[in-house]
Amino acid sequence: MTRLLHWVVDHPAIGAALLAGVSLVLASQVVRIELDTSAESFMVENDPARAFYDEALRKFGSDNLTVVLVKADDVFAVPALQAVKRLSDALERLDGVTRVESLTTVNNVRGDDGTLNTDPLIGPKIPTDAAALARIRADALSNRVLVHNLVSPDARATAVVVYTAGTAHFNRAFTVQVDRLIAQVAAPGLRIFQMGEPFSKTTYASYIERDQLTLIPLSIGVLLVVLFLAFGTLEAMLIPLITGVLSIVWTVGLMAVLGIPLNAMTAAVPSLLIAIGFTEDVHMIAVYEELVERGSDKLTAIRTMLAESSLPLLVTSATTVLGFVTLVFTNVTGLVQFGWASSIGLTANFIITMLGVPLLLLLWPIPRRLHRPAGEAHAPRGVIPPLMHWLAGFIVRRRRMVWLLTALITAGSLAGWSALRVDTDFMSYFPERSEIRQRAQELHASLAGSVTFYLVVDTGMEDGVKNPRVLRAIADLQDYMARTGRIDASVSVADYVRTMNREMHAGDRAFETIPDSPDLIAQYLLLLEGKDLAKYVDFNASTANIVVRHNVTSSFEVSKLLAGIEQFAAATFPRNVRVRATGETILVNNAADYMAVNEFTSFGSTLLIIGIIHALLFMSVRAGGLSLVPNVLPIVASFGIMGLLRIPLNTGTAFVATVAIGIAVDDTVHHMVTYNRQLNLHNDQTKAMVATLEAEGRPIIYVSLALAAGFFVLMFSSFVPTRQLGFLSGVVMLLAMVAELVLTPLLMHSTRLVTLWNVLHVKMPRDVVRSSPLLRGLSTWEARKLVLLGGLRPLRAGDYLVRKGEAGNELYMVVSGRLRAFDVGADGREVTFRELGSASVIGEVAVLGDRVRSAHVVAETDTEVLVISDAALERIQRRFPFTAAKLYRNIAAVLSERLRDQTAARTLAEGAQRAEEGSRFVLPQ
Amino acid sequence: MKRTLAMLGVVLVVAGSAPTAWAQSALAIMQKQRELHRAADEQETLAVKIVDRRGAIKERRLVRYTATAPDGLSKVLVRFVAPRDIANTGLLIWEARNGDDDQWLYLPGVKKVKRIAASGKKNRFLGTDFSFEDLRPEALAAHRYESAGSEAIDGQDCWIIEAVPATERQAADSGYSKRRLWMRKDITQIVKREFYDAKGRLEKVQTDRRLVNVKGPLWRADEIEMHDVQSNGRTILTLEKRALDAGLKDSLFTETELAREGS
Repeated sequence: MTRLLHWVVDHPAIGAALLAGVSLVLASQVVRIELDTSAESFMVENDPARAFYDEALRKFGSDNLTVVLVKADDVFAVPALQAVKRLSDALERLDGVTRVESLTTVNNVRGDDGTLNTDPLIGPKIPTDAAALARIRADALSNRVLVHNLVSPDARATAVVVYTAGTAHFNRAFTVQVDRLIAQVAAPGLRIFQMGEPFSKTTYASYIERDQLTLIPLSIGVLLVVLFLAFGTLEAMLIPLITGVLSIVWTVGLMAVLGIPLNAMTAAVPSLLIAIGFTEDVHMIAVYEELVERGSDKLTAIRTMLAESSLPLLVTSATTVLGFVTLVFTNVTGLVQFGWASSIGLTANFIITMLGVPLLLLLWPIPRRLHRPAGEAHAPRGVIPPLMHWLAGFIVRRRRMVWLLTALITAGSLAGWSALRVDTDFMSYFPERSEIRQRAQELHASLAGSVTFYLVVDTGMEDGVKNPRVLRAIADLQDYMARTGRIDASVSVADYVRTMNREMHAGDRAFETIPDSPDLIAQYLLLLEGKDLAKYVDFNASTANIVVRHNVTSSFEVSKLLAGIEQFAAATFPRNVRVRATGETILVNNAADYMAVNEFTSFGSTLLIIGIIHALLFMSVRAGGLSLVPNVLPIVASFGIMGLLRIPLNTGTAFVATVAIGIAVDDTVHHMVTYNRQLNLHNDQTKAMVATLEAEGRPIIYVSLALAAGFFVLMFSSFVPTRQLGFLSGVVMLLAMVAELVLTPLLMHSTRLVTLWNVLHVKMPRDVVRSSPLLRGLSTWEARKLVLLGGLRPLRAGDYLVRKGEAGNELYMVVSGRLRAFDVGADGREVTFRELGSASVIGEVAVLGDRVRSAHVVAETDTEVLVISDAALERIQRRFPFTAAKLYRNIAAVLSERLRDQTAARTLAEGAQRAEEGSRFVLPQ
Repeated sequence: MKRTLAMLGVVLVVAGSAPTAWAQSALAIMQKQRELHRAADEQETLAVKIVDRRGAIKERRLVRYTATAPDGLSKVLVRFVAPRDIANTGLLIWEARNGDDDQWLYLPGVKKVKRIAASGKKNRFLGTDFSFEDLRPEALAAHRYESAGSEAIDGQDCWIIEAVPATERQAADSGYSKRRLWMRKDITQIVKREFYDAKGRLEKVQTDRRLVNVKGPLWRADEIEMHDVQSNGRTILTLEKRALDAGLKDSLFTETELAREGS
């Protein structure tokens, strides 16, 4: 990848053309983006409950309801009735309207001794005489099908109920048409408004649009401010802005091409991109600016920056995308779409950043501020380095207190967890004082809420509904629901039968019951058959439908309500009858709770995968786990805060964990890598910690602040869950920052890390690896690991490696250069034992034996040696036992070679001595 | 030359008067149809099969008695025979000249006859796809008839006649803004009808099949299907037994008879 990037830097025109080209193409697609307000995106795909719902729709028609409420002092006066009639007639003629129910459309059943009247309640003309109006009033208010459903008992409110079966695009046009009709029908003394599914969805859509117009500019503004504070250079502000805007164009364009629509969830993606996407830019620009400050020319600075940053940035971007990609595997369309949109967006942003930042830096002249006369010391600027210095000291001194505090906070958070509640309330998406919530409340208070569901009563046999037991159970169920106080109105076939029975007995209320005779019921249904009853009983009278209206939108409350209903039904209906609730709101309800639970599990799997990636990165399982701790604790704490503040787990807030973890870990990775580098440099853990904090403190603080600010921008959303998501995520970012500065250094104190890119960048000549007796059998990879766990020490010509008699616990291998082992004789003359060239090993005896050096070793030329101390050997043994085994075997081989040499030399020496003493002895045959 | 002119003139005159002649004939054809196929009284046992758009079926059986008085007004008694739970449910209709028919209903479960209010003409008859209006004999005075060409149905050439309510009031009363009737030229009997709703859209199509020559010039269909195009449901009436001009007494068409179960 680095090579590709270097190529782009060398051919900037082509790179720029490529970027510009793709951007233009995708920009042209942006206008095709769809706005999706359907409830489908909030439902679980392949939910078996969905099939049941579709079947119910086929039998009983759409449950998509709009209520046009007409309020007046007396709705049975001519002005109100006129309005109702004009509305009903006009609404009936609108496209997509399948059914209209109002005082002027319904039939009334009225009977006296000799007559049965099933005429419409109100004839073709609204009567003007008081007697006729009084009759209508009396009839309507004594008709159980009408009261609470179409007219309030106090006669101050009446509804025109409109069932529609339009597509998603239908809603907006329909809402506008209805508003126009309402305006035409307006009259003094009347309050008329519409409320229901189409209106809710249209409002919802307009909120999404409004969010786009507010949040994106805000995010950009916040970003610019933070960048200015952090860097103070124009390029640092504009380059991330440019890449951010390009990312949005690419993302929205790709969304349009792939058919991913804008909905309440995906609408947050553009500002999320800006908030998260800039972090790579910041890292790259920081490195670049530092290199330039130290005197590099532009091109070299860019190349070096790419070499250093590309791999780490690839990994950190990958882990961020990972958090979002797991959402694609959930079953809820909306979440899947959000997962795709954000993953694609972040990936596009990565590509744009990696290609665009070098290109832009090439174009941009070096900021004057960064030009320093050569030689001037590079003093750390600002208040942060001294702060970090203090912090490092604090951490070391008050180690125990830090652990204690952490444990307390964690414990406190877990207490908050117990108060967590899963609850998605579609209506609460809108702020409490919004128009739509006020209408819902008013409708509920005046008449009956517009939230609808069906209770499907399946007897399993033809004509099963004609069974008096079943109808009585339905009536009882309706009474039960009325008693709960949460159900505003319900209508069923039982209501019609009861009304008919009463009127067939001349209006005697004693007969407003279900008759005992199934035959009579069959005869009543014969009379009532037709369009009116189609909503309440199916063709073969095997299934009945209770249409229920209420105002409860909290998924938690609805679940409780339904549980109560099902329990009552199970106890009341005959055994073979199944009663089941269904409806769009029910399905969305199911999905909401499913989503929130799903979030937790997806968070868990994300955590696991990130842990694995980091373990690979640091080549240590412990390091992998370590990297997660400072990031998991803030999330635990934020859920605790949620519980304490009574913020529910809903489709918005449940996201926090998954979103946050992918972002928060990136700081940790940079931190740990730098720490490792410093440790290799200083070989002192405390010094390394201080140096690391000084180096990383600034980026960590600025990036975290910028991320937190970016998330807090979401609090300006029109949607409550988005606001909550913004608040909680921002809090997590801030907590993560604190954890990063305090916990990570503390945790790393005990671990020495080898990192992937260190290994990749170690220059270990292959011939050394192959020929060295120490490294025989090791792969280049293992040799490099060895180098890092040990250490490389450079020597200048004339430097002493060791002196005779010194205590020594290190063994050395020459990587490059030449050493000379010698001793000084009694006469002061140097006696050279050996010349050690590349791949030679020395010092192994001391390391494994008596630890006293037996000779002087000096560097003849500039030399580099690999140093392996016994501590390092121990480390290697612990971390890489297989490598250690090979190493020990090699050392043993070296020693045995040494021994053989010694033995041979001694044997020769003894032989020579004996020869001197005389050849009296004959060697045995 | 003169001859050609004269011929041309004749042709023109004949052609010119054709529309009017046609218009007259449309009504004349309707009147002829009524004359040819009228019976003094009629008794039919019908199987009623109601099919919804998903193919589910409801089956009923009823007996219908019709008597037409010399003044042209008819009386109808319908009694359900099956299924068992609605057996003996009955309906009695006395046609009135002004359109406000008298109707009575009898439910065996209540054992009472109730007068039903009249204005239910547009309503569907007891769950079928026929409205009360469809079951009444054609009210010739209430409509205007126009010829609309010819077309063959099942190999039989037919006149196409358009019927439109004659006055505003009729239009308000009727459920249909327009009907098109296909009249077989050979027997002057209607075999297909299209019904257009108040918004002018095609609502239903009635097809009369298995026409039998009952006696003389009188033909009846043994199978009548009403297809609701908009809901895609259909009702099929199938004749099981028929007796024409059997001398049904006027006393049959009374509330007492309605309440008497079985016959």
